[in-house]
Amino acid sequence: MIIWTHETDEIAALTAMRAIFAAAAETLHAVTAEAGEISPAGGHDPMPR
Amino acid sequence: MARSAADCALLLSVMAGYDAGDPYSVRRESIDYVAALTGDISGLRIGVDRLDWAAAGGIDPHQPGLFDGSLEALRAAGADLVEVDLPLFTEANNANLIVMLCEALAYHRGNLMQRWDDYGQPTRLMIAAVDQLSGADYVQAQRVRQITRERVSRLFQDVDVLVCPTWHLGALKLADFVPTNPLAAYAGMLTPYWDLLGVPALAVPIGLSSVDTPLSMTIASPWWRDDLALRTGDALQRRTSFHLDRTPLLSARGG
Repeated sequence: MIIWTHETDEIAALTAMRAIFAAAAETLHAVTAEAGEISPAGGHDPMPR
Repeated sequence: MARSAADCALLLSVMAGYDAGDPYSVRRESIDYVAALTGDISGLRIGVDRLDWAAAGGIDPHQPGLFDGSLEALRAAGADLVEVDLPLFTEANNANLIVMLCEALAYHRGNLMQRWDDYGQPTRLMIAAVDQLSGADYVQAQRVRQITRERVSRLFQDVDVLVCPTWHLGALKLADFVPTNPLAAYAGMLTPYWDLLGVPALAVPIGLSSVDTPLSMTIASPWWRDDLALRTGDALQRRTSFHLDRTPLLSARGG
């Protein structure tokens, strides 16, 4: 964890947002590709072209 | 960006095009965006998703009627409207937030360490708060991006443009913005989806909210088909005058 601030309200804000971003990331790991789509396990370059 | 879709077309006419000095620029045949504004959308297939379930911040009482009124104006102009479900909407919005902020952290990390106070508070907090996400999270966000692009690409085989609310609320007033809680301003915001996809998306005014701030609808078109979004927005604005409205809030401030 990186802390560049010692302001109490900012540390509280960072803590709250970290939890929100972690939850957002979890929703992504539940997504799987359907047949014909790029497979997350297929080793494809995930960057859009 | 501009008062009208027609003005956006003029702006794009001088901004768009290949730039040999830009490694990310793509050489494509240019489109005459102004000539595309024929006012004729007869037979245009419009996919509509009201996204009421995604209205995390609530729905302004004026929004449903104004949104439906604009849809009716498009239908009266000859468009064919069909209900659709935008695929992976929540996941794509989350992916956009993660991709955008992780890339911002990679870019700003050094300056944040050295010059924290030179950044605006909401900006520095949002960027710094992704420091605990992993490389796997970022890669998965890019995978979701690609999967969503595939599914929306299939949707565009059945419709010419997609329409949804830009937000179910009027534009946020600066006085209501809390710098230490910038994510609150994102609650229910429906534009990150289009950012992630990279398709042209045009926000057109549809009237004023119950607190006299602007409401709008988003018109999105397939990749490189900015002309379709502009033509649809222009056709709407030839038949309505919401884009010329001024909020009484500006008059009250002497604006």
